[in-house]
Amino acid sequence: MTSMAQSATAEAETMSFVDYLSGTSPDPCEQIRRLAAWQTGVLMSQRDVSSSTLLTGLSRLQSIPYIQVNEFEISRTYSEQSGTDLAVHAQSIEDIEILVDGLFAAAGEEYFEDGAENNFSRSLANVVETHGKWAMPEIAHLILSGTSNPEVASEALRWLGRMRHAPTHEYRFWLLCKSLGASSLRVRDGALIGMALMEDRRAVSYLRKAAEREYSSVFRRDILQIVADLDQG
Amino acid sequence: MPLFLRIIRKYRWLKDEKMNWLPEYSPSVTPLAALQADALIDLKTEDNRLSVWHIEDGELNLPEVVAAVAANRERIDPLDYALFDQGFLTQNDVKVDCTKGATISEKANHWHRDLIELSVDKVVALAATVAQEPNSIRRVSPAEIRSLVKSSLQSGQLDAGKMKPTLHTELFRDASS
Repeated sequence: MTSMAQSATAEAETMSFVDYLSGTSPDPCEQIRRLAAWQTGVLMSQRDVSSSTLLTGLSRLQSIPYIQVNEFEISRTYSEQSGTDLAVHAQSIEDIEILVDGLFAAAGEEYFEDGAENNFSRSLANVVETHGKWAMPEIAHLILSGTSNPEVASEALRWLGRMRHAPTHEYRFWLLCKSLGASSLRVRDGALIGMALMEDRRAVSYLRKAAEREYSSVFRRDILQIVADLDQG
Repeated sequence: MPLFLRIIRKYRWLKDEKMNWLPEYSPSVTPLAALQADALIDLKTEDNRLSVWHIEDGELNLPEVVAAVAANRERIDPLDYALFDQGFLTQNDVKVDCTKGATISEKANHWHRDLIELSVDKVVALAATVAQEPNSIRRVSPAEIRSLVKSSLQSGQLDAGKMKPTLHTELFRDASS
């Protein structure tokens, strides 16, 4: 593993980082690419990240051999352009963060009903589909940091699992896995439902671990039901 | 004995380990004292009426009611519900009105009921009844919902033409891409 990977492992929670890489191709280039995507995601989720820090992170990614960070729409040819283009992109990220923050804040006033769309769910889907992975770090930050209302976070996780949007699938899957360990039961419930709706069978191992550590015996049964559903699916 | 079903959100009836201010249910702690206040959101009345479903002896019509309620939604979601028996109504002098339901299942609609002329103490009594019987709180998972609704469509109990397009799409699409 490269020194960068070792650094990222120490930086991120070890189990989640290793789990994220597990099952991927043994090709070291693929692993480094996913690592770079992961690390940039961690970087972008930090609330205090400045544009210059972001640019530094992006530049570092582009210095890695064989890396084409396609998920973030930056290619090696892009790096040949002036830093101005990267600065413009960074400014857009801040705008998206403000958009996402506003969305979550406004959702606190809504009443959520099972099986029903609402303004928040429609807006969330629109933001993710429009801004793709540029929106996901702020969404992840709001949910994982506990900053957002638990009811809103839970609702968000349901809809993030429900979405069918290939470019953000891995990021949404990762967020659902992480949220299974939330301190709030309603957030864990939202993650569980999101996992069930996503129907990604890789969730089974994460769900089994979540069941082992689950405080509520009732909720543990719900987790195991989803494991059974995914196993049968 | 016949039962009644009320749609809820399960986590409102469970204790979260973050809720260290909430006592555990014990002989010295009443069910209500051990129940988070958010549970009352699930017993929100309108015009002092509460919508419930009549479940026959042996829970024979439970799958049909669940399928009907789920098929009336815009999207697939788990269906959480609480059951309480008819004894609650007599013990608390609660009146019942046979108000026809508004799902896409004509048959299931006849099992809809409204608890009427409710007062605060009757709603609170209902919360206590549900809370002290943990096995009365259940969840039907999204996969089970999908199976139930599809089965009901195939048997003709549900009319796909009356289903909301978003739900229909979710029911019959492939697994995640």
